[in-house]
Amino acid sequence: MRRVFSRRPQLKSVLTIAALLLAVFGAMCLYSESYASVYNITNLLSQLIPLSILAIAQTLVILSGGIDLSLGSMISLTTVLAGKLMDTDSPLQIAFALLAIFGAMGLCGFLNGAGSNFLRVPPLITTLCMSTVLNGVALLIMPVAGGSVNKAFSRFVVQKWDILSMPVVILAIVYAMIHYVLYRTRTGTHIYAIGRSRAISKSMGVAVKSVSIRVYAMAALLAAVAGILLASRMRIGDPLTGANYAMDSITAAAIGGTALSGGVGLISGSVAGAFLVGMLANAMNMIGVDQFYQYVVKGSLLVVAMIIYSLSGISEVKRRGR
Amino acid sequence: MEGKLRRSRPAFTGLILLGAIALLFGLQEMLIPGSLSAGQVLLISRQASALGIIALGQALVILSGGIDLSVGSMVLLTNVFAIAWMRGSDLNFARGVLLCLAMGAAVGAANALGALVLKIAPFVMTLCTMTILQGICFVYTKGAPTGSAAPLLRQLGTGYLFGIVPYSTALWLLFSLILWYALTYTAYGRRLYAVGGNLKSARLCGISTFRVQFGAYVLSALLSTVAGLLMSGYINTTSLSISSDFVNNSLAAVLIGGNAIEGGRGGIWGVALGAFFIMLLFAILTMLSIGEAGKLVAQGLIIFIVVAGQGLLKRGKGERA
Repeated sequence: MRRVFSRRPQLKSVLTIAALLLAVFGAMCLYSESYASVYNITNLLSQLIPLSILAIAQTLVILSGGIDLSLGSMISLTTVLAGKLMDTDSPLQIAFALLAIFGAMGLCGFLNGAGSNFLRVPPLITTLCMSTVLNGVALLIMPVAGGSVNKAFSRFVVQKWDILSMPVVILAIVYAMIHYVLYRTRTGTHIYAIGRSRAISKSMGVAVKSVSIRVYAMAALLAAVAGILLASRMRIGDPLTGANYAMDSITAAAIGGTALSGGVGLISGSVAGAFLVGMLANAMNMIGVDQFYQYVVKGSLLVVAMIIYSLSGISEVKRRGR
Repeated sequence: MEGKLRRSRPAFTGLILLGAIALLFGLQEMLIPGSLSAGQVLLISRQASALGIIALGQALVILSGGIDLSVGSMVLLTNVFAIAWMRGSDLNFARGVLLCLAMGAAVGAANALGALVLKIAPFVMTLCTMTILQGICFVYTKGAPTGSAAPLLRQLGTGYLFGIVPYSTALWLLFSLILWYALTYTAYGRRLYAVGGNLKSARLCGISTFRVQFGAYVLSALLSTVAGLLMSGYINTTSLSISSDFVNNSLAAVLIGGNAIEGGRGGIWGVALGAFFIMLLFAILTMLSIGEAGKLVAQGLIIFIVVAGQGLLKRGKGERA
């Protein structure tokens, strides 16, 4: 057991978060009889999926030593594009719309990567500017929430079977794909390497810029997936949906043990972090905490979660230091 | 040698920024003939003063190797409680200001304790503070703020020193001067650069890194409080949307000013110019009345181009970023 931890020290933080998740879930089950019902769990899971996918995307970028503040705006733009382009019954046009959305987001991600790698603008500023521009574009296309997403398509994306649902399946596929990329391919090793030290990676022959650009593009494509999920659930486009998602995804990644300085972290931790953030919000709604108090409670609970996490980290450092 | 290098970089960035600002003024005169005047420049400097003062604090925290996302909420918190404590009367002015500053210091200390003692990543810690402060304001005002500022505060926010320079601009310049002096000529400044440049070696050199970073967070929160007071005087009421964009814009101002996001490199004047540049850009975009969407697009593109241009010019000069 100890050997498992020493090989992957972040695994411990993932388990800590998982324990916290169970604690929240257990507390909610005690509070409400129906909380553990199949209906509620399916509902809860499908609500947590977009943030989880976005947290995976954010983790990729943070692992590679960057940060992406534009993921939220990408979600907004995706729902807007979906609302505009998917208001049709022809399968061909829906396929075209999907292609257009993924193409546009891939381009945005590429531009993020190009800006922060070739023009050497700090990622924080590149993606902040990208976020502002995309917000503008989304508002330009759709000044107020509207449009419509094809009924059959959105039904397909959010359909449920008993406890499983399509969003959960999508998350599983995304998770498996990114897990494969990170731990079974050379690109994955390179992502961790350039996050630790760009200079050393470069001297070891890693194509630093190309890897970094691919990471931004991957993250943007994942944001498109999350956006399509949200658009299918709402069945309209909304230029403001994504507003809080960028920050929430960073919080989720950080809670899951991803170091914001890059090179350290696991995507399983980020998914667990996203679940924690989402479940806390859901739990407060269930208990009926006043909307305004929710801000205070959310912030305080996150601080508590981070304290628990960092305390376990500090004891870990002390133990290893001895 | 090191000191000389450090000072030459911000000076160079400052020149580029001055050029960009001159370009913007020229553009404004071209697009809206006759709109450029000394009075208008001073007016923009007053609008920029709140962001400018906040950016100074943000710059300190970033120099020390951290980041402060709670500045915007700190402005909101100050706004809500300054108005509530002063209740529109000069009798409560001093008490209100002192209480607000004490509150600011407490928030800064909380940020510092979370980031330094509990070892929570500064980004996450200040994000949490931001959420909590926002919540406190929403709960306190119940979403429907009322009240007005004390006449003295109002005078501070809207009045002019010697009838020419707005008080808030003067304060902004004063703070910039003090911080510039502190960073360039005092031990605290040198320690701040050392801590931001390399935390470990700074500690090994015998610098109390905790004290230095603690100071940066508290100063940042205090400067945000001052900005909040000035804004409260200016708008003369409580507004829950007052904090909008201060976080993003202060980060943009600091980075436009040529400071490195990882800390340890940068100066004060670049940040001041950066804040002025951003507010001038917003003012011109508003004057052109091109609508919210176009404004956002132009804003994002222009800030990006300025930062990218600086990077390219620096590389052209042979300096490695």
